[in-house]
Amino acid sequence: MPSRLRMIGVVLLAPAVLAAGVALGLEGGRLVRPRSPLFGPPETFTLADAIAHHDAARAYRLIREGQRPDDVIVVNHPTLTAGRQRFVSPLWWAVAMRDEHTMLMLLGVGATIRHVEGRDADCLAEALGAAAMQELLRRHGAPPEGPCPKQTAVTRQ
Amino acid sequence: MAPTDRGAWLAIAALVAAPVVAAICLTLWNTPVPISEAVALLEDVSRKPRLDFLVPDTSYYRPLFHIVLSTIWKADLSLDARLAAIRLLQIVPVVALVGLFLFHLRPRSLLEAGAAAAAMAVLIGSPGFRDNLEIPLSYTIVGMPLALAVWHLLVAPPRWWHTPAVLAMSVIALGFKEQGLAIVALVVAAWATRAQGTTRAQAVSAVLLAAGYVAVRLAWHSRMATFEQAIGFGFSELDPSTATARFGSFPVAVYAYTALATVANVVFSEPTSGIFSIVAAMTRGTAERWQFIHLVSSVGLTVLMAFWGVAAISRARQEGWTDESRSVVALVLTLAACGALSFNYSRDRLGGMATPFYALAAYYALRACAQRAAALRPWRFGAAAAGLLLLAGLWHVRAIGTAEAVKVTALRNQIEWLTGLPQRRREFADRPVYLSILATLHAQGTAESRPRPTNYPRALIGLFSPANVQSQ
Repeated sequence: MPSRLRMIGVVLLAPAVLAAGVALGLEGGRLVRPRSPLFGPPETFTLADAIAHHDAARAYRLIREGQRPDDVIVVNHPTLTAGRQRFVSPLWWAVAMRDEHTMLMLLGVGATIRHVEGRDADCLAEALGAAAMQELLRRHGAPPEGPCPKQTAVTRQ
Repeated sequence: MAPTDRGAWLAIAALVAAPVVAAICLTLWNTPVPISEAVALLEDVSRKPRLDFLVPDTSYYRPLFHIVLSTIWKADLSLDARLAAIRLLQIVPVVALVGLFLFHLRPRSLLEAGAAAAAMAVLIGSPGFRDNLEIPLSYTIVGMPLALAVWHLLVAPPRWWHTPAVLAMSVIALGFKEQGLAIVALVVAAWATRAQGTTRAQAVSAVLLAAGYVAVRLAWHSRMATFEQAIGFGFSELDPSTATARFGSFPVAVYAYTALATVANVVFSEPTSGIFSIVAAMTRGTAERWQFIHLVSSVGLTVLMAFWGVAAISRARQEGWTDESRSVVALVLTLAACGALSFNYSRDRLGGMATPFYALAAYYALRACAQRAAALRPWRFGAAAAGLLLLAGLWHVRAIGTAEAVKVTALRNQIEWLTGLPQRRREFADRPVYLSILATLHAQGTAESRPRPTNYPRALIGLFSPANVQSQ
């Protein structure tokens, strides 16, 4: 009987030890390797990369450090830019990466939409079928009236 | 067991609980103070003199919370020091609650240490605990350790200072939120079960305190809205105006539903805010693994506790009350108090005051079940041990889920700062104090090095927390 009680004690304690190990491993890992893919986006140094990794806080920091939210950036995407380098606005790139948070952050710091190639974030959202992003761009970005440039045509992902 | 074992098993139970608790506290320490609620609360305490918060002219009467927040915010300290104090107001009660819980249980054997560790996971993994970890809303998390401390004194051998301490802790809990009234239910539970540290005078004082509090609140604020906030009903949420139009002529039935929803949330993890969201997800076929885990672990434990509770009360009638059987009464009365106090709208956090007592009862139920299982035939013993392993394991998954949930909140707070600032500036353009607090807190809200949820491998996605939060 006492050995059985001890056995059940072990049975009840075992998941607690495992959970403690998981928590220790995760928190220890965060301290030792904070840039591991397990714990967050990798360290980035350009606005294009920060947006590509959905790191809105890093993108914001880069803007606070001097990057202007409407300055074009160089991006490369297998479908949207056909694997070639292309100059686009950060807002366009945020829509392309379907990063709603960075998109809203950029609008908040003054990014604008224009119906010229690479700056037509609302047209891209429409072409991608991203209705929620399109609605947010309409509400917060005041896109210009008028047709979208032809180059916006992209394959739906 | 030798007397020295007491400390050893207590230390072991504390050691295995420590990493998850430390993860939660560390995340809270690094969490940005959010825009929502925090800035408006700081605006309130900046504009009003401290003692004005004692006037009960609001539906949300938390005078001590506001006075403490005001004292911190107006202190002649750096911004970092004041923000640290606000975070500590959330962290210290968490550590106190966990410490008091283990101290009260004082495991003295391997079995008791295992049961205490599982009960700790029940405490940490419960929605009533998880939903009270939102900085700076420390209303109920302050009351939870106070309730446990009161219960500890009530069942301990009497000392001259116990009664003033019980009353003082009741007043503090009540000053942080009306849910502190649940402590009165505890005093009544202790008196009704003839706990050695309770007297009739103590019970009468506690009931008078509660009656006085309710009378003052009603006298000052006699006309309250039928529904203060959105309510959950069945599978959907109704905003206050819709709810008033639909149920305003006879709200009692919905009040009863809402009160029961809070109770059910503590014992079954469903519904949440009055909405049967897990059941709805299951019927739609969209339920995630964490939802199954929450429902199965809660239902399994509550069923086990129901069998144990009935047996414990039957035994108490014949052999007299023990700490074990008293915990059944404490749980039932605190659940009733939490339900009654949340009649107007149900939220997970409103079950917070009953949560330590759900976990306390879980400890006794698991221990009793283990003792009973030990006497079974071998194959039945094996099945019972496997069942206990599964149940304890599921609750530990939930405890890790709580550590993840606070990380999700930290990230959401940061995203709110990154994306919601321009809108807030426009919306509150005519409130200079609000705008100046926004400007003051802006840097801490947008700092890069903030906690983020773990990007678990695909096989573990949706196990600890909703899958969609990982891609935020």
